[in-house]
Amino acid sequence: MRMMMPRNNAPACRRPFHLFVLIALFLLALPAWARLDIRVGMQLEPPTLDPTQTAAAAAGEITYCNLFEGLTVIDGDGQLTPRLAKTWSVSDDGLTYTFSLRKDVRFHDGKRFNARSAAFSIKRIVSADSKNPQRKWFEKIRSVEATSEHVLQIHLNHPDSLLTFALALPAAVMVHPDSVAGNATHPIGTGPYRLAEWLPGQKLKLKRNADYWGEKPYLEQAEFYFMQTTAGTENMLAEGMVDGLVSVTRVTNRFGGRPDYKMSNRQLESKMLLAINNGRPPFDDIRVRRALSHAINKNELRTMYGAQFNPDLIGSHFPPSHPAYVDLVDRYPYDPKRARELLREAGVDKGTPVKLTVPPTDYGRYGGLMLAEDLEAIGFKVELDPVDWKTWMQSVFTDKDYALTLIIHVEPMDLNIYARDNYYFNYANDAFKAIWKQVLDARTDKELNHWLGEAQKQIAEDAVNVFLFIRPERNLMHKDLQGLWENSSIPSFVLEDIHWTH
Amino acid sequence: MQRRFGAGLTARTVGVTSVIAVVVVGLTLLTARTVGSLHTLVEDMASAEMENLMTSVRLVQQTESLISLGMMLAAAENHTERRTAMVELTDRTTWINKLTKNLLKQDDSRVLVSRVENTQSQLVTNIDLLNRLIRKRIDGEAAPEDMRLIRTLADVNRELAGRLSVLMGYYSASMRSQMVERSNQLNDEIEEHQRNLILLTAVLLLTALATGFTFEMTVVRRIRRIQSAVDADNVEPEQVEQKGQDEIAQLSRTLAGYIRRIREQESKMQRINGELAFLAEHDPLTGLANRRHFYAAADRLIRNSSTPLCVALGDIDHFKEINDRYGHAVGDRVLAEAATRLKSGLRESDILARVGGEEFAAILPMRSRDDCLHLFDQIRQSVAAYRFEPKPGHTLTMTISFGVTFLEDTSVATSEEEAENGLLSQALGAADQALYRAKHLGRNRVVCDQLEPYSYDRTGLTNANDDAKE
Repeated sequence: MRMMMPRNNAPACRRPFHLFVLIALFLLALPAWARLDIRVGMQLEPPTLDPTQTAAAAAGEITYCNLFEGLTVIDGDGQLTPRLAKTWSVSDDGLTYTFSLRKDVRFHDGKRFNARSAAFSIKRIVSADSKNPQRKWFEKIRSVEATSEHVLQIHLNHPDSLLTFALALPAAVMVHPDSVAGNATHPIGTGPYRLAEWLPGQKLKLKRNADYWGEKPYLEQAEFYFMQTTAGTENMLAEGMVDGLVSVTRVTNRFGGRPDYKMSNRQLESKMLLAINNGRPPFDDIRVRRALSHAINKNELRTMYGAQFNPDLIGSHFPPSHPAYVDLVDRYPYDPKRARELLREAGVDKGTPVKLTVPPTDYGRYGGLMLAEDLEAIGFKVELDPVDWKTWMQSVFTDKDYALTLIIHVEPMDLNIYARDNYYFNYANDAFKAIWKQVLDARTDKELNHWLGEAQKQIAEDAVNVFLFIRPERNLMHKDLQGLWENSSIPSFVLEDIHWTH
Repeated sequence: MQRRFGAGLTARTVGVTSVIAVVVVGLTLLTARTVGSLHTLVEDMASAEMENLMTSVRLVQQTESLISLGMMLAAAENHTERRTAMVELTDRTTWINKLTKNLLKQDDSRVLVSRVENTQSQLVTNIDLLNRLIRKRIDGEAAPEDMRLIRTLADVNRELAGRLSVLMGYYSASMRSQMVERSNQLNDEIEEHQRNLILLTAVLLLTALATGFTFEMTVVRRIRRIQSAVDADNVEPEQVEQKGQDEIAQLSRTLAGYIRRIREQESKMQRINGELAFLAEHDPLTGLANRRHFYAAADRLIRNSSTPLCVALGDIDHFKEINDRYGHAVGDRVLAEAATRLKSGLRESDILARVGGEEFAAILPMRSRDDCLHLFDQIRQSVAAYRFEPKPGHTLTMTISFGVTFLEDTSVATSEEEAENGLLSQALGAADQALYRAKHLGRNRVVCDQLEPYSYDRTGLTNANDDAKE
């Protein structure tokens, strides 16, 4: 048996002495003492607050480690560490994972977290009727059992070294059978914050959970404001009505120059795509899709956030930072002439109308304008269709009722979406599925990277989507805020270490 | 001792303390409430109202920008321009809608709210229509009436945006005046609370002063009065005593009673003391000084006197027989009568004592031996003149014999006590010799130690003596 010992991940600033000083200062009620709340702006309002049921990253962004916790976590340093599982071990054949769970954990409604609720949570992910957006990660699971009150065993069909990583995903957080049905609007998790208020279209408020099992976070309250408009974002930032923006926008550049804001990094792999409905004519024709790939001027497009951001272009659904990355940027060089030829070959008439569905984000609005221009340059008659996020999730993601859409995929290591049936790309290629099986069965890193490379090439070859660039990941935050989890690859805004220095 | 809580100091202390406590608590509560309500007011102003004001100001700006964006859309010559204008317009209208929704939530005037909402929805519809028409125009498909409609719509949109801007301006103005009103209200309240606070502080101050004054009057002064009355040389319980029912009055009465008892004890003791002293120096039967006193007084006299002194011893003749014959009571009476006559024959300052059963001694300043003899002979006569009927048919008479000595010069002996004593006993011895001789010579006579027995009235003397013997 190999043992994996939990790494001590307590940041230096959270020792008892500091807590004592904090309390002492608080008792002295120094007038200059730091604030205990935060207000952050987000572009997308999650359609549901249950991250196990939606592909909308915003759900995880708000709830991850705040409301819900998983057995493991990708912490602020980007490391995989234990969370609700204290330790775990893997059998020698790599087919059985035994998790020893924390005993002092309760859900927000007072119910105990134990191996039964953990088993329930994981079974729910892998069940046949699962709606979990990351179910693919858990396909090797054969069975899950609670061997005792606080010991959970997961049995696999094949060894899976990424299981503990998968369990750290926002979609794999622990839920309780009694409250799971209401999690979409009244999330009941085990995290250090609980939902206080959700005013749809406006904001969402979290309050500190006094009964939290772990260290008490600094902030008493956090508010997430949903900023569907650029004008609104500018207004709110200008007047200091929010303390920061999660993820970069066009205004980031402008406000980054203000002395009270600073930019902070995030380690996300946010892949911007012109997603194509591969099942809808004329895009079911590979020549049309390739025409689109040639038509988009990526170098122009990547300036949308301002000159100082210089995002990495991509040629496939894969970040350049990964060792398995294959540079496919020049697979389809910007060439409107070639694009028009391809369209002609495919029999697409000049002036064919196409609707570009854009989500209510900054990049959607301004990127959509640029894309429309490029598409019109090759003969399409483009109609921009701005929709709100709920509509996008429903009609594009779920109903697949769209032609083109500009979207960002923020999940790390999500190449597997191209192997999924019924994914909104409507891409179905057995060749890719075969490659992906090789990826899953890879025995060594070299093998794995090789097959990941093949997978990248395959979707580039099939021009499934137009792969644009990796969004520069910056938060715009008040300069006195510290403790953001900047190195986590999970799209999240974890509050527990955040505090004001003034 | 009975405690009366109605009037006692304890009750008064409790009362005063309660009053002060109530005033202080009231003051604190009032201040807390004041600060609380002011806090709420300021909070309201800072958060809700300030935010509303900001929102309405923002709305004015944003609606104004709609005018130019609408013009941009109407003037678009290609789809990029058109879409750019549309993106901006959609963004603004969405934001404006959100802001107005928040702002109008608090507005009661339905007419105004619906006017704003109508204007907004009309604007959005018009923008949409204009967008479609412009697209047509850019594609070269627009009919002449479309072109006319574009112009009309552009004008209408400008008007609508302008109207919206004006309505928002109205909101902004009313928010501002609301805030000014609030601010005035805040000022008024602060002033009122200030007045109340001053008033209450004055009450507190007065209460404290009154308490101090009352304490001075009811406690300090009275205690000082008691103290000075007790300190006086002549303590009068009436001056210590105070009227009233409180603890100090009770204490003063206790003290006065104590002083009274002390004074009673004192006078009693003085009386007893006097009696004891008298008893120690006097013979209870005759009231004359006793032998001890005589010696002491005689000593003093000898020591202090610069004139000659006469020392005399007298003895009642045949006293034993009177005693035996008539009983002790008669004897005592005879003794007392003799003493009385001796006393009345001498001056008050002369020293006279009963020094034995029927024996008397006297020492007194005299000018001459003759004077001595003469004086004591007069006394002898007055004693002999005494008549008494101890029982019916019996008449008792008595006589007395005196031995007298004369000290010519006492100054020789004044320096030494022993000499004095010697002088006194010498004199007494001489007087005793003389007395003896007087008895021997037939009694009822005065004999001087240096002379022959002498009598001014020999016959009388002899007879009287004989009578006494019978």
